[in-house]
Amino acid sequence: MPRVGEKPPAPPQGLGGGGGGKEGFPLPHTGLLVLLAALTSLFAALVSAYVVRMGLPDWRSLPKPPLLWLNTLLLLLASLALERGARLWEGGALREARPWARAGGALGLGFLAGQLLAWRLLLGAGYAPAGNPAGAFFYLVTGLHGLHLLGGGVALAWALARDGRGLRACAWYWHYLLGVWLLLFALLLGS
Amino acid sequence: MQRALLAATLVLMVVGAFALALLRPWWFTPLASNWGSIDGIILLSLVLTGLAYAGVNLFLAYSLARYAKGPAQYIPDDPLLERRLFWFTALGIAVLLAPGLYFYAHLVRPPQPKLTVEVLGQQWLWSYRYPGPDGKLGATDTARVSPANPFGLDPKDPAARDDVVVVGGPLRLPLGMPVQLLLRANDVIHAFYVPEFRIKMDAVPGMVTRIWLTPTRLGAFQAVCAEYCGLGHARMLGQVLVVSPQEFQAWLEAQPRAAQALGQ
Amino acid sequence: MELPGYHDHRIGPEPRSFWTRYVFSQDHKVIALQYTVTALLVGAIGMVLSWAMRLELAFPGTLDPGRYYQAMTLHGMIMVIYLLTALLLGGFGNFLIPLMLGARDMAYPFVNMLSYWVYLLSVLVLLASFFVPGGPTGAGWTLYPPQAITRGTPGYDWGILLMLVSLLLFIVAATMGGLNYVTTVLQLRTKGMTLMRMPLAVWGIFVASVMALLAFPALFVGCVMMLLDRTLHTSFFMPAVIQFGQRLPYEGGSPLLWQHLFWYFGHPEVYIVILPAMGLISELVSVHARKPIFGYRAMVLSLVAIAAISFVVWAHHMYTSGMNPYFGFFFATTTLIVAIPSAIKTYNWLLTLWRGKVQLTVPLLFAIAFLNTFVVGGLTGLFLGNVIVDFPLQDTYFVVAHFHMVMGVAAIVAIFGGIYHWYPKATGRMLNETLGRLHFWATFVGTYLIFFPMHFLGLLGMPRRYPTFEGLTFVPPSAHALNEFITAVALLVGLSQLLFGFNLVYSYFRGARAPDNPWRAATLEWQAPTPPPHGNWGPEPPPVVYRWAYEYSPPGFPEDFIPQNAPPVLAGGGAEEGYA
Repeated sequence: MPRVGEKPPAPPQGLGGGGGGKEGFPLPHTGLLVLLAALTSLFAALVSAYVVRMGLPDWRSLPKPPLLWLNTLLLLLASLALERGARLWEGGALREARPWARAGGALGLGFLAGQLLAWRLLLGAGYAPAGNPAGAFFYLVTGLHGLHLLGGGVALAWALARDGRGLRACAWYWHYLLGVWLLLFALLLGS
Repeated sequence: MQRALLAATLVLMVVGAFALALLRPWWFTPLASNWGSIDGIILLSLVLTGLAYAGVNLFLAYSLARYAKGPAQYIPDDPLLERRLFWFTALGIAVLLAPGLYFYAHLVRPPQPKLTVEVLGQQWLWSYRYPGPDGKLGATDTARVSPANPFGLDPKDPAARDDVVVVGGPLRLPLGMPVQLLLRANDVIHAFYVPEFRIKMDAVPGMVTRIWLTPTRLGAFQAVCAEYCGLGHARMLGQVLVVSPQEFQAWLEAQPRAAQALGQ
Repeated sequence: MELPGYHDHRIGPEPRSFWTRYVFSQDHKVIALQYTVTALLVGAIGMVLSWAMRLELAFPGTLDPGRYYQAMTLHGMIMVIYLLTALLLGGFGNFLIPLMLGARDMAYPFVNMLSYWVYLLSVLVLLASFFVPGGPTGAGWTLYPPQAITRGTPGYDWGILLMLVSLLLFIVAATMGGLNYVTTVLQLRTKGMTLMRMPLAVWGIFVASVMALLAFPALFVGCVMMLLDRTLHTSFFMPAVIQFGQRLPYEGGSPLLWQHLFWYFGHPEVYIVILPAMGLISELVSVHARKPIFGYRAMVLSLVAIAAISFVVWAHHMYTSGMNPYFGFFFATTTLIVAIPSAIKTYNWLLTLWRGKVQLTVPLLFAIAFLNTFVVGGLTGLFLGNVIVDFPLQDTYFVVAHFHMVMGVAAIVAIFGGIYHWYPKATGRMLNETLGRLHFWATFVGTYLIFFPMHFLGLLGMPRRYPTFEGLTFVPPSAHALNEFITAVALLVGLSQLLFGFNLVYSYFRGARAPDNPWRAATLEWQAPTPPPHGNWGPEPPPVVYRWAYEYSPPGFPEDFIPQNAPPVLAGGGAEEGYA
């Protein structure tokens, strides 16, 4: 049993976090990173479900409209534009940053429009969500990704309305979704 | 006054727990299969957890009775004690896990079964299929499933034609022979459970699952559905009859074949 | 006017109108109250549903099976998600985190406010399912396909839809809240509040929030897929189904995929519930026994270990599901291993009481109830986790007894203890002690009588999710008598919760005025005014922290505690050396 000695044992020494007495992790965009951790969990669950389903015997491969390549390019350009905008804003040049940020937003919307068009192409070719597991997953995956991008678009619009505060976080968010898209696209191509 | 009452209550709770375990008003059904090892592990677990529960509650009762007035002693930690408690707990865990995994290995690797019977769960009754003299269960296809043909047998498959189908049971099993149960379902997930056999397994549509046992006691038992399957879940009861091997054989040979039942 | 602080964190001016003060408030304390009241009210609905279930179990025929299953499903879902998770994270998390850390508010107050309103919306959508054709879903809180969306299960058409939408909304709310809790703990601690000086209540909620952010997405994906199966007839989870003679328009899906997704969320979820409860208990035990929490570092490490391991135990809910049986070896091992850090925490609570000054205040009474029931529930988990033992016990009353002990009793009594403990700080009034003691005794003894004998019904093999046991030949008449007894006790325990509800409301208006620190606790929230104003610390800079959170009965010191923010020179007494 624990005993009380003559000198009480010292309580645990402080550990971790912060400098300058502010006590926080000197990590920019912690909030965004936390959000991205949750999103990673979401897409990881999606991907693992996809991989499991792909292994079942009734999987029929889906045709991949070449439009998807164009959409990917649009998203890549959107990220680049938004990155430029964010850097300009960080350098204090809000006026110069705006057009780049807007271009990024427009290109992102272009991606979304392209995705919807790809949906119409597939539906027109007879690949409905029902009756075709690969189809169902295609719509699910692109739908969830697209919704998150749309949310990012709303955040971007809000940042622009607030003199660019949060633009840097928006840019990271779009790069993240670009990364997710590249992964999902590779998965789609390989199945 | 309240302190004494609380301490007494904690002690009484332990007494109650032990009383229930010793007097056993509700306890295992009498074993009717080879899976008595599970009973043994449960008893071992009851002993260890019972001692742990008694230890915790008695310690708690003592502490609150004895240490009412203070002053409290400043003891923020004791690394040696903590290490010891850690290893002590790990040992307890190992003592429970080792036999558990050992006997689980028996469950996972069945012996060569002499008999395979298919169990079909459907909302809300159990049906069974036995292989015919060829010893093989015939092929099935969901496309052929109909009220008259719940297993979806292909009437052209010779292995299926001589199978014996019993819709609604009872399930007859011969004493002393390891039997493999193949479980299927047509609609939703069910689970086949006979308390006296101890083991259970889900029947999942789109899959065939399996479990094995050796009946060790003659008698009539009840099978229940142990996976929620809709409104009739509590009514999905079946009868299981364990009979002598001779009686089983005689009964099986006297049954109409699937080919007859399907009118082919 | 901006309030001084140590971080670049603005919280906005004090709200002026009724609407911005009490309704659309961005103040974490108001949001905490909103979460707490909503969760308690919806929990009361869940409790009434349990009465309906118990009446059917004691007097078969009271409900038809459909109604029983609807009550069963909503009871479970409400209690686990809309009561326990919401109250522990949204209620206690919101109230305690900024105050205990010396922050003025959460990192993103606007998002925090949104999180409550989305939660409320999710509750309303869920309750709306009582009013749609077919009524609420009766699929069980685990919502297994195919039964959840096929005829033969109540609410398979509309009820399940609303349930899934409600869950999706809840997950959005929980994500917005979790974002706040995690970021605030990482970024907004006051000067001197290092991670290892944080109270365990914050650690418990923090670790649980991280878990929530990682676990809820799996449920999100599952719910979206089931929605698509239900509305668009995709076949994510639906195999070929022939039901009542009819072939349904599905093919090739896997019901087990749902189970994996659900339990990958569902197991961490129960730890998301119990970890904050454990944190609260650490506070209650050390404050009311006037003794430092024993083994603080081990307590923190145990929380983290439980969180990490809890992500690799999920398939212990699937031992009899038909999954690859070899998985059973792995999951049984990890499941039994996760018992070790939980045991460490239990030893440490007990050792905190050892040689303490154990004051039987109402919060401590509930802490003792927690210790007792958490141990019972945790020990029975060792049966169920040991794969082969689960084979007879799965889907019996043994499981029902187990999870009610850990979640239905332990987590709830921790919440009660926490409310009795922090109510004075939040409202400036003390709760009535006599009512509190009555509430404790009825709850503690009652829940033992309800759930302890239930384990033995499980050993007998009595299946769960049965509205009636007529027709079960292996169930003796005494078991039916026990069911009646349990129902009687359950109704009494339920009624005694009214004492609690009454106490909460009555004391708000007529309770004795509370001093700023009635329990003489060392953590920062007690150093704030009562109740804390906008910005928590007023126009002064927030407190600076000089030591850990458990300086109780330090030897050689005239007071029996030293607050975290008492500067060393004032603490004096010559006992300061070696104290961080």
